[in-house]
Amino acid sequence: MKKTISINLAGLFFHIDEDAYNQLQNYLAAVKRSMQNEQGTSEIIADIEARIAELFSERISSSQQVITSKIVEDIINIMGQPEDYNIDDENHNNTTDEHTNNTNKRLFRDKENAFVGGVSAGLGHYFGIEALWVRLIWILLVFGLGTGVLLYVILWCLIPAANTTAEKLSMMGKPINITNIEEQVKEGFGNVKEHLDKVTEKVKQQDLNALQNKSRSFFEALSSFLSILFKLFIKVIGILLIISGVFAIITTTISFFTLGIFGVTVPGIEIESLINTTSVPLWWMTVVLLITVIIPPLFIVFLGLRLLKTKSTFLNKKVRISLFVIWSIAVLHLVVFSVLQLVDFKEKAYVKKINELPVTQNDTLFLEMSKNATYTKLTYRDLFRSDDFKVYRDDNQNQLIYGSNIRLIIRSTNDSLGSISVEKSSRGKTYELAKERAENVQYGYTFDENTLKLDSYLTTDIAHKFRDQGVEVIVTLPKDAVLYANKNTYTFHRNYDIHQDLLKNGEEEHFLKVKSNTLECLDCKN
Amino acid sequence: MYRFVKILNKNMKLENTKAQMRKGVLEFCILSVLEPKDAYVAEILETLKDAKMLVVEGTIYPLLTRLKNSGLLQYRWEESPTGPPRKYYGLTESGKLFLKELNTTWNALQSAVSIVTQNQTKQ
Repeated sequence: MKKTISINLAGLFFHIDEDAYNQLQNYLAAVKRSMQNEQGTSEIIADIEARIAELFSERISSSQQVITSKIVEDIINIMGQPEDYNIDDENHNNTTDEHTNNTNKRLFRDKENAFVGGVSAGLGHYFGIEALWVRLIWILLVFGLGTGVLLYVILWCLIPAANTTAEKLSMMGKPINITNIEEQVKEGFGNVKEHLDKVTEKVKQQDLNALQNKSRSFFEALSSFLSILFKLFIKVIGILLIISGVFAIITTTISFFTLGIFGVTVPGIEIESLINTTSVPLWWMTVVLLITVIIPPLFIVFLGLRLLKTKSTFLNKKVRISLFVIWSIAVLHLVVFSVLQLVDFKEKAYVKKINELPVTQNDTLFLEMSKNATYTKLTYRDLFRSDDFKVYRDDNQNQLIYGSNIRLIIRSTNDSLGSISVEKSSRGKTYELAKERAENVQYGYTFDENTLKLDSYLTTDIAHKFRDQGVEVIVTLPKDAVLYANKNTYTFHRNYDIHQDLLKNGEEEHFLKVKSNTLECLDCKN
Repeated sequence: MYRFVKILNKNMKLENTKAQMRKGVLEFCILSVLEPKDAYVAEILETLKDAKMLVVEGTIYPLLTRLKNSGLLQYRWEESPTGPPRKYYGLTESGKLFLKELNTTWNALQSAVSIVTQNQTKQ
């Protein structure tokens, strides 16, 4: 199956195969070129076309029959090669001879293969090397104090662009004869029509602007310079986009792998199930997150390539659309997930229990945090307050959530006896759920021989999941009692003023006398 | 004709020479074909090709236009029974005179050439 084109050749209508059409148009263009020195070329071409039409209609039996490339070849054999149209005439012969002898290359700018102004491509042709090497030299020179830029601009101005076929051929170093011109025309065939359209447009414009011709040429030069400068700028941006896009892809990929190794995969313990309110597995969420962050840089790279080259094969349209759809789904997924997650953390409930603390005036209270015997085997990070949580198995192999979100506050009272208040808190979808969770927080302390040992941790059964469980311990001491806080309380009473904590960081390991709303250091060196 | 001779002196390659000879007398032949009656391109081509004067058709088109531009030929459009209108070429008055001149030159040239070549073979 072949595509055909309908043509009007000298007033006759023909169906012609696409390849045959290209062949024919190519032939006519070559013929036209071979008669450049002739007067009335268009009239001759019209006659030739009329004859070709006649020959076509002799060769087909009905108007339904299609002109094939075989027929076109036959016609070309009858009509002769483009050279045959060239009537020998002295002047023409001489010029041809001159050109044929002059196979020396000339330096032109190659605008067809230009990256910026075609200087590199032109130099490449002239020295017979790939333009890439010339460009690399430019880049090196740019780093060498920017001489490359200046040199480039100078060469740009000095070297003429290769516009005509003859110039293009002498740029390539080929002798200028009709076969070569024809070859050149064939090569550029794809652009021939476009080029012709441009020329006619230009001619029309010139007619319209005939009066403004002089000023026009100046502004044309200026605007073409500016547009090339703009193109250069665009290309620099394109390179930057590609670099940053690739960098982003690499870093996110690496970070996801390290996260997968150190952060999430704790063997035997499924932490995600404690936070996760949905039944979505963590690896799935990881993939979704990866998709969300890795697709935008891909598009950035694509955009960069697009700026460097008008057509990029890096991502075709279908791939782009699919990527965009995948990305949108991933983002939507994350949003839904986050909302569900937030819903399960919506309500917060507190459970408070206050006990007497047998500390009176002039008693000294030693305050310290105590470790969890089982858990401290598993981690170095004990006696440190954090919002983080871990899962561990107790001696009965029950899975427990272990957290160290313990806030310690010291206050004073006018009563004669001290007290200790333990307030547990948790979050949940409803207040009831939150309250149930708060009640299920396990937290304890011991008081023995004036020493108050507070747990540095809270635990709760794994069934209750992690819902921001926390404990606030308020130790209230009567006036004129003395407090001696162990150094390990440091992080637990690191509070903002809003918590009204009398004990300040740095006052540990000192005997502090309780006054109303302040602590007086008894053994500090001023 | 002067052109023909000049070209003969200039390019002595066989193929070239043959082509130049043919092309040189082509103008003369075209005018001769058109002498009895006007004709359109296909008819001129037929006559010339039958006489093996012409190998490829392409050569004739620039020649026709050039002869027309120099006022030796003129053409008129004539409806055709099968297709679009055809260009019928004919000799102008100056074309007829020119052809007469060419005829005499050609005859002189022909006899000169035959004398020269016959002398050569006799020797």
